[in-house]
Amino acid sequence: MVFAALVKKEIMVVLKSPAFIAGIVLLVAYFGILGKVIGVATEQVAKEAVESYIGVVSEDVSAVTQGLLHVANVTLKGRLLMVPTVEDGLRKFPVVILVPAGFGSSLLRNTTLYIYGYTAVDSISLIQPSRSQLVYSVVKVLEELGKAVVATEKGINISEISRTLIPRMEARVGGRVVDVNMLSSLLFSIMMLAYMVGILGMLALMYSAQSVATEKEEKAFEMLLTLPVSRTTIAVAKVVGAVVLSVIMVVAYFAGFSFILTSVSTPTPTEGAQTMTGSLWDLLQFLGGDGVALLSLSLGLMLMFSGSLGLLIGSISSDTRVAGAVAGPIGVALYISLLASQFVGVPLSASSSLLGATVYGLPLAIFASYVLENRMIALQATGIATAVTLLTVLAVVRVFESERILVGISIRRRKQVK
Amino acid sequence: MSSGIAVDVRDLVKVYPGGVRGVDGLTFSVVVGEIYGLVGPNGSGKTTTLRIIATLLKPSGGSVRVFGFDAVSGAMKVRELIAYLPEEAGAYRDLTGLDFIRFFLGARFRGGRLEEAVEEAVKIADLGSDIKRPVRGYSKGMKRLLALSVVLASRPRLFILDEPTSGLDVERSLRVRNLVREYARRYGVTVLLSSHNMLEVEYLCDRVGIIYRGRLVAEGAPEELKARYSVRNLEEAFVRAVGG
Repeated sequence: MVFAALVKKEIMVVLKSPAFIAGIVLLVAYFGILGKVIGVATEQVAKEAVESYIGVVSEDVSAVTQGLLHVANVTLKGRLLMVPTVEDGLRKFPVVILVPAGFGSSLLRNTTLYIYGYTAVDSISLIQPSRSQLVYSVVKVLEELGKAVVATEKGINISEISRTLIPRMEARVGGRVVDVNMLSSLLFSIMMLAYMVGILGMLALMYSAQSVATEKEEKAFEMLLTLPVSRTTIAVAKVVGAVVLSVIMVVAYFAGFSFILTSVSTPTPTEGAQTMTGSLWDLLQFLGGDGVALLSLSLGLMLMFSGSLGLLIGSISSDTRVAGAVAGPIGVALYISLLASQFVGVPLSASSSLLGATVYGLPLAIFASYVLENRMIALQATGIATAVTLLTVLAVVRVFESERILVGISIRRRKQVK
Repeated sequence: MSSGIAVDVRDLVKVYPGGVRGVDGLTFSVVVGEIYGLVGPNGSGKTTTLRIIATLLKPSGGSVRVFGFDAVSGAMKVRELIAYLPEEAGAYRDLTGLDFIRFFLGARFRGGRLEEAVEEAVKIADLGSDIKRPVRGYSKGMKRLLALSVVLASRPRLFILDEPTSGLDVERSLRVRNLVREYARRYGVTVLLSSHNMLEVEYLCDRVGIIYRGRLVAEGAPEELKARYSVRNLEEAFVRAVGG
């Protein structure tokens, strides 16, 4: 009985906290919305893979090639549509396949043939790799049908025919041509980096929120606030302290993530394409010195933003329980948003600079900037992220200068007046 | 304002969010060098008043001046002149007592003066070898002494002490009272304290202000108050003053 009462007390003490209840409600609502968004996005990806029309540019007008494309179109239920040029096709369809001149005669003579696949990449998302897969699947159909055509032409059994059709993939990103395997590899790396940054941000946020609340609970806070030191100095020192501690965490996590990234490679690189593993080192090489500098700055900004946001939460929380109940869902929400971006898709265009407003999305904006070779995107995004971070620091300073830092924000109970 | 006034509280009002009135038109002053005690029942506004004087809270109305400096517009200057001991002062549990002392005194002193102040605080705390242990292992009394040592060794012009002997045993309480009195007399520091312990107030204070529901209902030297209400001790005077 006593044990049951003790357990009940433990649960009720937390369950009756308005901050805890608000946190639960927020999380449920958030995950509900997020689940819906991810569901729609993945459904779109699956639909695109099965139902999308595929543009075909045929430079070969031979009867063999035309016959092959006709049969392939029937097999793919009319999803192959002829277009005059690759550019024209990419304006209408997610992928375009180019059959080169002389393909038909080559099919009859050679065992290894090349075909060209093009995709238009307009976002950092799961859609991009699925588009590549779409090309691979069409090429596979053409390869199998090609064997049948050769067998018919030569009057031999199809089992004696060996033909390998190799797709040479290119991605068009904002008018630029990028190797698709390299892009996939870099996308993977930047996403992993973004997740790592997200985890660190979440940790920094929760750590700093708890630190102020703990200081309040330790009852040293009031003495601290009456020292002849400006509140701004105290607030900024706390932000810097939170950043330094987060950097210590960064080093540990960075080492761990680097190990994971260097252990993972992109599957099935095509012949002729530049093979790249999904390592952080490849990403850093791609970005170059100035890109790495911007990426480092983005990490610093994210830590400062998270530390400040955490301090803001801790400052208006009466104790560690409230701070944890508020900071937890916010931290998780920020991280899950980042995780969800791969499903929803991060724009790969000039508007990528707006990602800076989230601070956490800044590495993705910098990446987009370098893929598109438009440095203005990175600069604008960094400027926006810096402004957001400074505003958050300013908000912390304002709270520290007000008595909210002491009396907090009470959701239900009023402070007892002594 | 007279140069002989350390703390001047005029028509002080503090309304908390939700309309709760913590202080409701409080007026009193503390003369330089005296020990002034604020007494009153729970919820009468003692801690709120001390927090406003210590620049932690902002008044909703009225004014507070400390050695002529406004507690709101001149908050930084006021902080240079005061040292505040909250009722439930604690310390950072993972720091040692010595680290705690050095951190707080380091905000006021530098170099040789800092070392002197640290030495003084260590002596006041009188925690022996425990001063080098993390605070998490300290008793409530040890933490109280640690916090008080920092306040006293700061040697400000005004001590603001909220229930200075709260939670201390008889022996330690007596030691704290003696220390406060010694510092006030030896260094000419003005003391404003709050207490529920009438014996302590009678022993320490030159003047006492009795507050009730956020207002001053009686003020004077302990002997004066006893004579005014024709009672034998301050406890009875307090009960009479608040209408008991």
